[in-house]
Amino acid sequence: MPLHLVETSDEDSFVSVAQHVSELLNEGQTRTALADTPATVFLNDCQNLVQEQRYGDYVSRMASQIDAVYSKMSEKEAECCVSVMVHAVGRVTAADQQQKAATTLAEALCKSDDHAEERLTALMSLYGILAGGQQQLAVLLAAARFAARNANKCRSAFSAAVRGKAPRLVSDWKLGPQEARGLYLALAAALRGAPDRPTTREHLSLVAQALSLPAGGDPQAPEVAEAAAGALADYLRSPSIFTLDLLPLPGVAALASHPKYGPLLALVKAVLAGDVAGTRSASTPAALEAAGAGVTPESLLSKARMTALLATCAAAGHGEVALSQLRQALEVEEDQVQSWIVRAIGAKLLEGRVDSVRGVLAVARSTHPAFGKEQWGRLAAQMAALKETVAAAAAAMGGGLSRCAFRLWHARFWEEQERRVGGGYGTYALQEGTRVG
Amino acid sequence: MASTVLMPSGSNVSVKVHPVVLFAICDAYTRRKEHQDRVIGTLLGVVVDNVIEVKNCYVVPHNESSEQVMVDVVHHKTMFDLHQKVAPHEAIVGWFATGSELYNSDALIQEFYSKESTHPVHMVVDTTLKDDKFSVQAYTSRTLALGEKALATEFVEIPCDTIYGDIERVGTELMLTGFNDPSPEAKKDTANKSFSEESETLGASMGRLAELVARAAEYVDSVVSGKVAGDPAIGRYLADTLALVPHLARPDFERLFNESVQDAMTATYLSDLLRAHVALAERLGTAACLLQSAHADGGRSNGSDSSTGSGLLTCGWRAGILGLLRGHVFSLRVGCWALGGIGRLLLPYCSRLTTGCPTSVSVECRTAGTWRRVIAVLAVVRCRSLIVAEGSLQKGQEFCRGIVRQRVRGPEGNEGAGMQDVMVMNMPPACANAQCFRCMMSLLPLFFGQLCRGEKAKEGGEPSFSYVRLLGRLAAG
Repeated sequence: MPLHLVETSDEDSFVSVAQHVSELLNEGQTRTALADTPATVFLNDCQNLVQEQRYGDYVSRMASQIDAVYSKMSEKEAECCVSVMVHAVGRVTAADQQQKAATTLAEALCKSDDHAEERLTALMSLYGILAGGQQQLAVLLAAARFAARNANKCRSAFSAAVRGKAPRLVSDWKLGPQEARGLYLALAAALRGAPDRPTTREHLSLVAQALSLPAGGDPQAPEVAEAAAGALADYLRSPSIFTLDLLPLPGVAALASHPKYGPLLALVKAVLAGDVAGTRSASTPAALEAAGAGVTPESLLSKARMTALLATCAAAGHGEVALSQLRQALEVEEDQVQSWIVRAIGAKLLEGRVDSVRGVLAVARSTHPAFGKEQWGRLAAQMAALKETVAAAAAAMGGGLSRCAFRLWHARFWEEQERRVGGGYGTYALQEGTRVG
Repeated sequence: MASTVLMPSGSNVSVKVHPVVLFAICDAYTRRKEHQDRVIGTLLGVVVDNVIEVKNCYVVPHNESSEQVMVDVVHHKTMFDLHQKVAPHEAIVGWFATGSELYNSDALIQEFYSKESTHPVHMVVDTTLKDDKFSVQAYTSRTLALGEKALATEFVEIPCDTIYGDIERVGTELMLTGFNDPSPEAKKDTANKSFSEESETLGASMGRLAELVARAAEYVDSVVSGKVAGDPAIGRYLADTLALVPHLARPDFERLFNESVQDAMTATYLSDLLRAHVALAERLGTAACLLQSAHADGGRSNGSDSSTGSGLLTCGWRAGILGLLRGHVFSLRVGCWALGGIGRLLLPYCSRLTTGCPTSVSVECRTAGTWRRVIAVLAVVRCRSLIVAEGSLQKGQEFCRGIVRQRVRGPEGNEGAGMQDVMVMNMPPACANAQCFRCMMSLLPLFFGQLCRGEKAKEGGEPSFSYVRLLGRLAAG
């Protein structure tokens, strides 16, 4: 198990925690010497449960007090208590019991939203302590839902934890398409609307994976539409993402007929195609509203211009693009074209050199805004050319080898002779006064 | 590995272990004392960003029982100080223990190490090979405390990987290719590990590249034809990679490639040819010297004059032929002179050319009068033909100039000895090259000129002769 507890004190930690928690129950209660306060009742219960190793029930008793724990104890103590509870879940031996205990604890943790980060951390530890895939999936989904609810506080933590792991989890747990899609969508919902680039990329990739699954579900289902719309809105809002591969997917294409998100899709299409005029016309109030906060017509136009630049350069491949052509595509003044190019190079979206004398941009590498059939076709042609080149080089090498092999043999022959005979001559010559011939 | 643990926010710590550490731990485990179940020790390394790189380790003797655990702190401190002297940048990053699970005493040891470093890493190396797996796990710890009372220590697993340094990777690959094989078949000419072997490796690499390109092209073609749904991420990656390859038209590429291949082949051919001719020349030169009699010191040859003369003639004749063959102007000139019968005139002052073992040459020649230059040149040509390899022209020139200046002034304590001015030129290996001898050839006439002037300045009598003993030593191999 990836989480281990090593006891350092003489008392059993579960009992100590129970004791501590039980004291909370005493607050506000008048102490009477004779009657059993709820605290002592609680404590005795827990002690018995621990002694009998009925950790499942112990967890359920403790879980009921979680809210009190968080609100009344200090942070460190609360963390400690909850961790001990998590470990108690781990001590439950039977699998289904463990599942039940885990669910109880997870629900208790998710019940309220205060101390969201600590609760999320506790959910993560709970995830870590569980052994089986199914149980972990349940906890993960609960955590995702919780993170989505408390996006502001929990998003960065959650995204750091799950980034890049989703496909691996799907394959490890062997989830069916429906379950996988559910997982992707839940995770994506938790990551929506992030300001930083890695999270947005993760969000987009999760939505792409969810929507590209051949799920038996209905592409018009509301959660699909929500997810797709969320992804599109994120794409529009982010100042650093210029690639989008979602448009061909059926779930996204179905948005066209959606009353609320149809204009949004039209807007995204215009921006992605780099069509500046089209973007201007598509930035209707409805579309902007659907996109949500953070999207202004100006930002959309600049995004469209940058995308137009990238698209033109990508289409040129390894060649040259005339600056006049760029000016036309971007619909900006002539002197501003170079500043756009510089911006693109600075953002590492483009690599090339500007020749202002001839008025061209020599493109070395460019990011493709969309990677569709056209790009695949071009890629195929490039690969064929490369294959041919490599084969030619290999053939030339082989020919060169045979020409040179004879000469090497020639040289080696003489060396061999020298080695065999040279020693004899040397020793002979040392004897003075010898005459030969 | 800990793929099942989701890291809580911020602590994206991961551990990278060098193989040396694992070997050391296993070695220590096999050498442990009888009563010990497990070995523990300290881990040394560096922390960069969120990655802890464990580079080194050492064992710390300890004693544990169910009640208590004792660790030899003095030993630990001493070893750490010694390691600091060797590698000051490595710090204590944690500790390791062998075994398959955590012991109760681990918490105490962890606490001890928390004083040595912040957030120590605990590494557990499974030497019992449970499940037929050699697993290495790393943990960080968290203390759970209620108020003042410490309840327990929680160990959270973190991702742990093995990494290879460049040196280790190169060494391993070299060992795998049988470089160190001492068997006689493997003792091929390592000196000849030239174009042929390199081109074989290059050919193999090209083959691999062609295979990879074919595989990628196949995938792309299947996407274009619609058989497979294309993954845009892969497509972008391929497109970016291809953008790195410089695009050349086919005829340009062929021309470029052929030119560079031919250059490489020319260089190889010339160097091998030179080597072959050196061997040939040596044999010829050796044969020539056998035909001359050996001269005692100070004596003049009589009975052996004719043979010596003919020997010189033969030598000169062969030098001439060689010169013709090789197109070396000097040899040609010398050859002609010798052919012209000058050799006979040299009889009283003949030289004794001896050839020692193939790796060293000593030439003694007595020079007199106007023939000193010829003999010197002969000597140098003779020696030059035995020297191969690259070297530094500049170094050679400086060295030679120094010798010339020094010797012209004369060796100390030998003023007026007059008779034999022995100049020993020990050539450093770096100087033993064909270029260097060329420069020497140009300097030697100057040298002899100076010598003779110096000799004439001394009190009269027969102009003394000076020995020039040139000792060229080839670098081994």
